[in-house]
Amino acid sequence: MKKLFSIVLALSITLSAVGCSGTPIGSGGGDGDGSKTTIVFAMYEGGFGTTWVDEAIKTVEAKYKDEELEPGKKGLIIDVKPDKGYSGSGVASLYGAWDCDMYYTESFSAYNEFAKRHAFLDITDVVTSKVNGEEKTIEEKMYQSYRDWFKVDGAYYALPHAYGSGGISYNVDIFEDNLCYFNESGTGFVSSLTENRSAGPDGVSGNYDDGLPATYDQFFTLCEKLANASITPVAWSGQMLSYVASMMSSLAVDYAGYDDTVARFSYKGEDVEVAKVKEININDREPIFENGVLQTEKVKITEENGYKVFQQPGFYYALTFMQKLINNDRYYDVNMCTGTGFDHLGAQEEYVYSAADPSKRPIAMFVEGSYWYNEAKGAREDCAIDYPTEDGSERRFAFMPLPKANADKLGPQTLIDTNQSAIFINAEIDPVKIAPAKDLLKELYTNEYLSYCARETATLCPFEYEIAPEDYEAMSYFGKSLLDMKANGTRHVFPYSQSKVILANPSFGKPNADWETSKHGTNPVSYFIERKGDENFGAKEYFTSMLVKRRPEVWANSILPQQ
Amino acid sequence: MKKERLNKPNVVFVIIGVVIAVYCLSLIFALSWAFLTSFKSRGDYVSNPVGFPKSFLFENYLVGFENFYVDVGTGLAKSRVSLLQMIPNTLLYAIGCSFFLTATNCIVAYCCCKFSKFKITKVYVTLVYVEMALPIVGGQAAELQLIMRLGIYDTMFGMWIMKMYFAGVYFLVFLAMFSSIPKDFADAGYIDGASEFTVLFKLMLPMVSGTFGTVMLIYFISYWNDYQTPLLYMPSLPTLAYGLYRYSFSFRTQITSVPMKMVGCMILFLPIFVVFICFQKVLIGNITMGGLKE
Amino acid sequence: MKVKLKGNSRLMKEIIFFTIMMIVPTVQYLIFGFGIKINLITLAFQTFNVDTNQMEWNLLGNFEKFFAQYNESLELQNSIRNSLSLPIWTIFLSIFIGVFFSLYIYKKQFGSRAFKVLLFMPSIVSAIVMTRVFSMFVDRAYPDFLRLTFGVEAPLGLLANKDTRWATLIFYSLWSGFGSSILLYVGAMSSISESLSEAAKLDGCNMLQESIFITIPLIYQTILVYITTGIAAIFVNQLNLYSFYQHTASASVSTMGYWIYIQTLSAGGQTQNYAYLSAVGLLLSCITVPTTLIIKWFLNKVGPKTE
Repeated sequence: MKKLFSIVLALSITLSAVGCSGTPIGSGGGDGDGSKTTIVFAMYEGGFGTTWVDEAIKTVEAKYKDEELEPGKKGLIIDVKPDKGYSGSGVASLYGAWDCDMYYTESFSAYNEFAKRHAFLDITDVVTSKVNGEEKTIEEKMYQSYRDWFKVDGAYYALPHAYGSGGISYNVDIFEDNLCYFNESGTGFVSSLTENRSAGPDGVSGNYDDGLPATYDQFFTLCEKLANASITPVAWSGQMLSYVASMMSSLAVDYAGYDDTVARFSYKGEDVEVAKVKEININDREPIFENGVLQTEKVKITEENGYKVFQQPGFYYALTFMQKLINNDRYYDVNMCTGTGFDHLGAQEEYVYSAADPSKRPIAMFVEGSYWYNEAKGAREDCAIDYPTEDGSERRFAFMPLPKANADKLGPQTLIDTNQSAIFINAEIDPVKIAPAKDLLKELYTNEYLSYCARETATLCPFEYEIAPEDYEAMSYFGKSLLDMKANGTRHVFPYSQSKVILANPSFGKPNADWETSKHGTNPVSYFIERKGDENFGAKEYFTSMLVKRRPEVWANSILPQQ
Repeated sequence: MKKERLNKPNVVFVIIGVVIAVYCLSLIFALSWAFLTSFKSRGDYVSNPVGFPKSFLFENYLVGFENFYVDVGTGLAKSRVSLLQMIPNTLLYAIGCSFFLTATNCIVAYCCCKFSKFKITKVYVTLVYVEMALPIVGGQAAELQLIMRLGIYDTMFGMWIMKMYFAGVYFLVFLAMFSSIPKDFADAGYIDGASEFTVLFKLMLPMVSGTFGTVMLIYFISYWNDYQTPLLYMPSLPTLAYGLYRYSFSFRTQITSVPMKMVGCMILFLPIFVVFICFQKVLIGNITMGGLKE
Repeated sequence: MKVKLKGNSRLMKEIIFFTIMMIVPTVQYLIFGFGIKINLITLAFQTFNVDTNQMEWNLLGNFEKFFAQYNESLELQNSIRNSLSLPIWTIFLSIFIGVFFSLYIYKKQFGSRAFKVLLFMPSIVSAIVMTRVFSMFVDRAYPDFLRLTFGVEAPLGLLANKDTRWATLIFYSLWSGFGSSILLYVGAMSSISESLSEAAKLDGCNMLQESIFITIPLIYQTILVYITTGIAAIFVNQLNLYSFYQHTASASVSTMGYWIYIQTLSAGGQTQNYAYLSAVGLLLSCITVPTTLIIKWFLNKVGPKTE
C-alpha cells in the first residue's frame, strides 16, 4: 500500500506538469514575434449563434492593424469565446473572476446592481455618439423602455442587442395549401389564394397579416379546420413549457397594450386598466365577474399599489386562451406537448420535418421564442436534403401576430423582450484596449450593421433603423415576417425599469414570474394539462390564485422595499 | 445430502435473480437504443425514433470525431484540442483527483476513528454531515478567485489540491470500515514495535484496500463524467466530458440532431465501457480481496 | 500492558502522527471549504438595500421572508413534503433492493458476474444519455408501445401523466443509482470471514437465513452510512427533476433540492438572491444535521452488534 501511495504520488508530481492543451491554431500569423494585442469577447452561445459579430470584428481589426497598442505588439485580434455558460446569471455569478474583456449575455437581470458597483466600463460616450455619420446617436435610436433600464445614474454601462419574444410561428406552405386564411368578412376561409382576406389582428387591410386569425375565436376556428384536415394545429416542446408560458405573457402584454405594459414594469402610470377585485379578507380576494365577463377599472399605478399590475385583464384572457386550447386535444399533439420526450431542439426538429416527411402528421403552428428559426438551422438544412422541395426553394415559416381576445382590441402588437441581451465591457479591461473595444461597439450599432445582423440572424434589435433593401432581399421568409411586424407598428417593451420594486425583485422581469400563484404553481400550461376537463379548475381559478399571491398585505410587507 | 440442500437456490434468490435480470435487460435496451440511434440520420430518427436505423451511417462517427474538439486560449495562443488530445487530460484528471480524494477521505477517516479520544475528531465528523446537508449556492466566483490568487488556476495540480477534500460520503464509509476492524490488530502491531506510520500503511490500509479501490473507482467514474469543474477551473486542459459538453451545446449544424448528440455520448461511453469490460475482473473483482481473511 | 505503561510518550507520538496526517486536509478544508462557505453563511444574515446598493445586516430578514413564502407557496410546501417523503424510497427501498441484489451477487448465484458489471453500467454512462434515453422511452415511445402491443390508447407518457409521474421519477432514481452502493455492499460482504458462513451452514441455516442473520448484521455499518448520508442529503436531492422538466416541473413533484437549484439558476448573480438562498440552506441544515446525528445514534443503538 505504501508503495502504491509512493508510486502514485511520484507519478502525479511528474505528470502534473503534463496535460494537453492542443495544437496551435492562433490566427494572425504576423511577422517577427507575431504578437498582437488581444481583446477577448465572451459570447453567450444561444439561438442567435455568435457569427453575426465577425464582420464588425474584421472592420475593427483592420482599423488597428498597424497600431502599436502595447509595446512590441502591432495590430489587434478580437477573439470570440462562445459558451453556453455566458448567460446573464452565469456571467454574474462569476463576478470577481471575470477573465474576458467584453461580454455578450442574455437575461442579465443583475445589471443595475452591477452597474452601480462599476463592474462594467462606462460607455456613455459611445452611446451618446453619432456613429458612421448617422443623424441620431445610439441613445436616440434606442427604444425608450430600454433606455430607461440601461441608463443608470445618468450613465450607460451596456447596450441591448437582438430582442426575442414568446409567440406562435406558422408554416406558410401549410396555410397556403389548405387555404387557412380568413375571407374578407372573417366568417369563413378564402376559397383561393387570390381572394380578398380579412384584415387580420391589426385591423388594417392590405398588409402582412391579412387573413390570419384576428381573435381567439378565429384562432380556434382555424384549429378546427386544421384538425379536420388531419393536420395538427399547434405543437410545442413538452419539456420546455416555459416557452408556452412566455407566449401567454405575450398575449397578456398584447392585451394591455404599450402604455399599460410600460406602466406595469415601471410601476408608474395613469389610467391603467385592471380587473376589479373584491377583497374578502387580508388573505383572500377574488376578481369580480358580471354575466361571466371580467369587470375592469382604470387606476393610477404607483409602487405602493403595484400589486394591481398583476390584475391586468390580459392575464385572465391569456389563461382562457390556453384553457380552451388544452381542453381540446385535437388542437395539439398531446404526446409532444405534454411529455418530456421532446426538448426544444427535438420539438423544432419535429415541427420542421412534420410538413416534409410523408410518414408524419403535419404541424401547422409552433409555440416558441421568435429566435427558434435560427436555432433550428441544422434541422432545416437536413430536412431540405432529406426532403427537397420540387423547385428547391426554402420551406416557408413565419412569425404570427398574436390573435386578440376580442374584436375591440384589434390593432398593432405589443410584445415584451424575453431575450434581454446586453453587451458590456469589463471595467477591469486593460486601458490600452478600451478604444478598440469601444470601436467594436460603435461598429455593431451602426444602422448598416444592425441591418446586416437582421439578415444573418433573422432577428431585430431595439433601435430605430431601416433594413437595407439588399439585406431585406437576402433575408429568410421568417426574418421578413418579423420585419413586417415591426414595420406595421409592433412595439417591444423591456420588462425592467429603475423602479425600486423591480430593483428589489428583479425576477418580476422574467415571464415566469407573471404566472406565479398562491396555490397552482407557476406554470399555467401544466396546470391546465393536469386539470384538463375539470370545470372547477379553469382560467378564473388560476387568475384568482394569481391575485391572492399578489395581495396588498404581502405587497406592502414582502415585495415593496422597506424605507 | 445436506450439501445438496444448501446449494439448492432459495426461492427468494430466484425472485431476486428475475428482478435483476429484468433490470439489466432494461439497461441493455436503453443503451442499445442510444447506440443504434447514433447510426441514424436526423430524418430517420424523426420518423422512427425507437426502431432500427434504415441504414447504418458509420460516417456519423467520422463527423462526430471531427467536431469533437475544444478551442482553448486566445489570440495567437489559441489552440485546438482534439478528441485524442483530451484523453491524457481526462486520465490525469480522473485518476489524480480520484486518488487524492480517496486517500484524503481514507486517512482522515482513519485518524478520526483511531484517535476518537481526541475531542477534535468529533468536529471533523460533524463537519462532514453539515457539508452534506448544506446546499451551498453562489460560491463559484469566490472559489475561482481563490484559485486564481493561489496561482493554481488552470493547472492539473491545482485540481488535485482542490480535491483533497475529506468531507464526503465515502469518508463515512471508511469510518465505518475502520470502526469494524478490531483494535487488537493495531495493538499487535504496536507490541511488535511498529510505529504509527507502519501500522497505518502496513496493517490498516491493506485491510481496506478493497474499499479503497472501489471508492477510487466510483470517484474515477464521476470525474470521467464531470465537465463542470474542468470547464470552470481548468479551461485550457479540456477533458472528454468537457468536450462532450461543448459538443452537446454546439450550434454547428452538422451535430445538432439527436443521433449526432448520441454519437457524442457514445464517444465518451464506449472507451470506458470497453475498459470496464476488459478489466472488470480487476476492477470489480478487486473488492473481494478487501477485508479480513483468515 | 506494555502499551499502557508507556502512556505519555505514546500519547505524544499519537499527537504528532495525528497532526502530520491531518494538517494537509485541515488546511485544505479551511481554505477551500470553510473560507468560502463562511462568507456565504454570513450573507444569510444580510439583506439588500436598493437605495445604497449594499448588503446590510438584518439578522432575521431572510428567515422571515422564507416563512412568509412558505405559508404562501404551495410549491414550497410540496417541495418540503416531498423531500421528507423521499427517504422512504430513495433510502430505504433503495437499500432494501440494493442489499438483496448484493446478496445475490455475493452468493454467486446464476449470472451474478454479468449482473455485477451491468448494475454498475448506469454510473459510467453520462447523465445526459441516461435521462435522454429514459424520457424518450417513457414519454415518447411508451404510448406507442401500449397502442401497438396491447391496443390500449394512452395519450400521455409516464412522466407526463400526473398519476404516474412521482412513481416514475422514483423508479428512475432507483434504476439509475444502484451501481456504487451495490459495489460497496458486495465489498463489505466479501470482507466477512468465511468461517462464519461455514459455521452457519453447519448449524443448518439455508442461504436466506444465513443472509439475514449473518451477512446483513455484519454489513450493518455500511448500510448505516447509506441511511445517514441519505438523510443528511434529503434537502439536496433533486430527483433529476431538472433533467426531465427543466424549469417547469409540476409543483406536485417538486423537491427542496430542485427548488433551490431552480432558485439558484434564476438568482441571476444577484447578491440578495444568494443571501436568501443561503438562509434557506442554513435553515434546512439546522433541521437535517441534528436529525441525521440522532438517527445515526439511534440506529447504532438498536442495530445488531457485530461482536
